[in-house]
Amino acid sequence: MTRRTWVILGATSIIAERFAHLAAQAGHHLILVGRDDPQLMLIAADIQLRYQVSCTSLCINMTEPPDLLLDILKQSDGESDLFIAHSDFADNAHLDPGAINRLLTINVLSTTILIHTYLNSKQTEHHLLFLSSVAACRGRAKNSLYGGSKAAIEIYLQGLQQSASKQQHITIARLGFIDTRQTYGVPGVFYAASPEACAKACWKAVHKKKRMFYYPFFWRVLMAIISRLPFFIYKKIKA
Amino acid sequence: MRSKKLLLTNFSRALSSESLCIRPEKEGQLSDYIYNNKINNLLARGAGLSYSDSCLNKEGYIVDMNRLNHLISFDTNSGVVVCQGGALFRDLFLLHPDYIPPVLPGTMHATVAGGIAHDVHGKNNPHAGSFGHHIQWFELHLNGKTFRCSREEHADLFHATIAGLGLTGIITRIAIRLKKASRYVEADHIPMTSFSSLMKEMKDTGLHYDYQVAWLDLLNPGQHSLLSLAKYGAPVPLRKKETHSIAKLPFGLIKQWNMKLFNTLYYKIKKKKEHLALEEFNNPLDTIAQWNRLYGPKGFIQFQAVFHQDEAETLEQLIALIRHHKATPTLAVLKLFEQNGEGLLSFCKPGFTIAIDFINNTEAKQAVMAMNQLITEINGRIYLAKDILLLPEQYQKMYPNHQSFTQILRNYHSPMHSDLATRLEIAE
Repeated sequence: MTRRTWVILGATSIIAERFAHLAAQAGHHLILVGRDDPQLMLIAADIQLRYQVSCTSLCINMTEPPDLLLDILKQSDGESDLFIAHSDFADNAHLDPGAINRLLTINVLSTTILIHTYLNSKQTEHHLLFLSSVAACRGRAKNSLYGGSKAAIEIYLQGLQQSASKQQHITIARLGFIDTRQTYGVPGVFYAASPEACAKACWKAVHKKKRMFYYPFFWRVLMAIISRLPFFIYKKIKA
Repeated sequence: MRSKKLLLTNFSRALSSESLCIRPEKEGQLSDYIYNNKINNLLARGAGLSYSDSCLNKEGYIVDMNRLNHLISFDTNSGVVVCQGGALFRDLFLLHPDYIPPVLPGTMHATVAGGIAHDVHGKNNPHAGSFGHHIQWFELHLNGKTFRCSREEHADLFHATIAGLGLTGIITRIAIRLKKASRYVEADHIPMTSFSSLMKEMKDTGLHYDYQVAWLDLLNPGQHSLLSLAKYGAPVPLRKKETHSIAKLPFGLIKQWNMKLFNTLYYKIKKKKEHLALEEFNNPLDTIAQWNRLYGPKGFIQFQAVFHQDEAETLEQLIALIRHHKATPTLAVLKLFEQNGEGLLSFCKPGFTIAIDFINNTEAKQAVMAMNQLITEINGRIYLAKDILLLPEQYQKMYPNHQSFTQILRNYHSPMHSDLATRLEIAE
């Protein structure tokens, strides 16, 4: 891959940060997008100092129409790649009309607009990686709206993969437990993979132009079983 | 931020204790959590690479600092880097090709805040002192306040925090002055056949070199050692880094017979001259991830002391104690200090310092306890980053500033605590 600019959405998440490190190490420029400005600037300075690449930050609230971001994605003076890690994680137990609106706006509405804008930008090549979740495989009592929002984007991307040109590469990463602040200290997390290893798997998948992969890999087997369980058994699991 | 119970070990894996852990990803989360939960039994833990119990806090809180590891700024003119406490020594090499960390501990994977908390030293103490000497300032989080500490501001906390074993607060940001020097060295490895001539050579020739360290064979009869002397040199093409990782083993692979054999071979086949990266010279063990697992589930223990009195004789007495107790010294390293550390509890003072790894067994513990007593009697000092067996009275005798240190903890009502602090009766 020649030098390109990776636009990282949700850049303050640890997986996105580690992915940004890999992209910077390979000499790519970076635009970090998120809503915590001081943390974004801290991460950007860190990457610039470590890898001597251009790394800028953009503070945006994903619930608002991100015009500024759309302009960046549409820009024609350079080629950019897109890493989508931003997400709202609200559990079903914490939903109210406000929370539902927020989750769907961030996870579905704004994500779809960004993907659409990016893939329609005039570039010779497109690389897009979307961080999905194993929660998208089957609706779970705990977080089915979150899982559903991930599934919506996955289905949208599957269609785009079908119609994609040879220069458009779309990768979906279905992640199991990764050692992030969302899983730290949560009961039932039996094995959480390191964010560094997860970012490496993403980087590798982008280069191998994979359409979809599970990380950690064993979740492919686990989800194959879980999604095929007869409902009367699935209902008893309820976790 | 959620917490979770974890069983943590020290680096030598000889000790373990369970603590409630939190892992902030932003500095703000740290202060909010401590303030909201009114925690008063707290310890910050970096890479967990200390050999002592200074990185453990039984039934208390541990703050995992590994995600507060960002580099913040670097001034190419002055060489001053500002970074978060969880940044690693290894990271400081990324900043500028002309600058290196002025003091390098035995592993580059240690955090810089851990480097301050133990006032770590390298193989260049006569020229560079210890790590604390190169600290411009740091921010210390203590009881909901952030103190900017330097030689001018909050100087009491500055000198207590350097080598303060993490007991004065949580170091969040640090300014370090890096050194303009090559990151490659030309090294000579000189075989020696007597420890007294080795010590003489280190005091005479060794001082003209940028780095010096000696490897000692304490397992075989005879007094074989290799004196490594290094000077900064021109760049060499880097060898492809090969890293290996050791899996968790149900038994130890390091035994007396194979280490004896290793020592004999190492002494014979070690190249006499090398031109290599500073990292390869200074931290050969860093290429094997988790080499501490080679010792099996019981781990190992390390003894490190500095002594000035009748140096060659003291070394012989130490070796006699090891042999008397039938302990197995697997690795021994000798260095020379000329400068005192700047912290109240700094280990460094002029003299020879010897570090010895032992297979963890009763014999080794008895030998280390006997050696600790000998070092106490001759006004030497045991390194608190390494020790697990020192007694409170011995600590008080060898660290003359211990009262001032405890007084500062009292003055600031420090909520910090560790297993080491309990053992040596440092914190109440």
